[in-house]
Amino acid sequence: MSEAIIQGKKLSRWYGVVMGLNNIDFEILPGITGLVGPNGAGKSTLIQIITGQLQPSSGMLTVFGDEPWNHPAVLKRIGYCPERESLPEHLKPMDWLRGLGQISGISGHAFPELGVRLLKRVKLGEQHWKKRMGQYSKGMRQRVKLAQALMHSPDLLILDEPMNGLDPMGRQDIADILKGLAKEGVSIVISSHILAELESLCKNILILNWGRVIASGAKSEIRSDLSQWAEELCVRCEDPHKLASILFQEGHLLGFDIQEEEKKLEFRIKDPGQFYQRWNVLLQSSNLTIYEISSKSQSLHQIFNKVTTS
Amino acid sequence: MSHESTLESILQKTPVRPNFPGILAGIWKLTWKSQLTWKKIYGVLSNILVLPVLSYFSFSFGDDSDAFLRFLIDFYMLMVLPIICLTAFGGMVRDELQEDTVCFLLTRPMKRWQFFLSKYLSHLAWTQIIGALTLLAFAVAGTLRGVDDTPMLVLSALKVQFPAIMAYGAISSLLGLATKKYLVLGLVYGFVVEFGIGQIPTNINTLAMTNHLKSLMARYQPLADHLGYEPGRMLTALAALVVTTGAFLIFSSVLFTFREYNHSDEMSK
Repeated sequence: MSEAIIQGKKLSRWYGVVMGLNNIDFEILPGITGLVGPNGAGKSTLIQIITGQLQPSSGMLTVFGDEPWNHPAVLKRIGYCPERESLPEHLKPMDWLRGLGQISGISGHAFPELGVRLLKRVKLGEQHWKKRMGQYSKGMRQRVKLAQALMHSPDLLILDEPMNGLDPMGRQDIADILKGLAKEGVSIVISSHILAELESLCKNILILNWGRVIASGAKSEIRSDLSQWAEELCVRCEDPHKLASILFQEGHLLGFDIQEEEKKLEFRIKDPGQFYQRWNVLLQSSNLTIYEISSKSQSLHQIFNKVTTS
Repeated sequence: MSHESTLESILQKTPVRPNFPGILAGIWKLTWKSQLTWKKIYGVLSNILVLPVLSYFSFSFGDDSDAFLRFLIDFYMLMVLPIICLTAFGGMVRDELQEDTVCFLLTRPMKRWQFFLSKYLSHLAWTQIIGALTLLAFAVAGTLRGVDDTPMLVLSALKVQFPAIMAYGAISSLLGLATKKYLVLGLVYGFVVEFGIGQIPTNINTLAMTNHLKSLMARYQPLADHLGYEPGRMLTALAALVVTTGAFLIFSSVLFTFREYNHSDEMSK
């Protein structure tokens, strides 16, 4: 099993009387991890602690085994792309990247070549390089922010809402870049409200709500962890009314919907554990002809909705 | 060759070695470039030109030298320069907070004191340049009005201006880190310490930087006559200014190392 790159132990963070993170324990493994949660869930607080901008109020958070606050050896391995769109308005991207690069310990001689490569990598059109960043659109700002995060070749990339303001092509570009980086061994923690993008990108997710970790781990594990919640099945058979009646009498149904024309029964299961032990027997004893059985597999969006509303 | 592999090879070839000279060079670059917006250029030009131009037009009919010195020493060196330092150094971190760009800097691989000290040194260099240009403008105004010994007067002021900006800058940077109301606190400090304690005729007045600056300026006789001040020992005055600067910078570095500055409460003035 891979070793965790980020570990939180009894981690809490308060802002006065407001609780940002509430005594959470979690691990983030190498690979791409999605950080999911509604507004105010504690995502940004967690990201700011990971990137050494905030300190925990209590507990501990380590990145690559050390606490990131005031720790250059850890920060050297982290690239950070914040959600905020504020860039130095008066600067051109190349000047900004050069300044940040020097601060990060990249020799001035590496520029402008490195800057050119980075801006090409994030697909910022060359015609925009001479403009001041104050003139940039939201999408162009996202690309420059990503470029500065990649500059010192980090082992861990922290991205806070990187898809904000990007058109579908832009999102695809960023997704491709992230997939490429993951292949090169860069671990990525990505927070986003656009769950469909996370779904396709992330192997692992960490779900936060009200400053607490609601679920964490591989998406598949979380799905099985959530099996105590109602699962939805869809069955096409010769008599959906009869099947519904059998399931109701057995006490398995939380709710159902019959689509007469398609001969389809969609239903929610009360206790999936018990239900699947009885399912084969019920089907055989019903003597119904079954045309199709499909599970409404849980998308990230469904998982997110379930855990945050439960 | 694909973009991916090209980038990878470039990044692998590019050594990343964080070091203080690099941090200082990067922050200096971003600092002076940030001063070259039109809005700030107008401010800088007004800093440089307003007082010398006023001094040119408002000479008294009787004694031009005295009017010139009142503008150069009493008004610029002892009043305006400390306020320029207060706004420049007090706001050096808070301006980044307000513009919401500090996260790009504080997540770089450096100790927090290195960031603070680089900011201080960059603003020190920039303010020295502005101060030198202001004195140059005074020199032009004085020469055009035929003030005696203008080059020596301005040169004497320039010699004192360097440690003055250094010390006032260090004090202002601590005030800026300590509170978002650093302008108010700075003015209170000025009235209490510089104008209040500084006027008490006992040794306690050594706490006021103004006294050390006056004793340095008084080493040139026309300035001693104008200030009505005895020339002090140069080494003593310089040592006091350097020790004060060092002490305030150490306090500030420690404060910045332990205190967070990106909470939203801190982001407004």
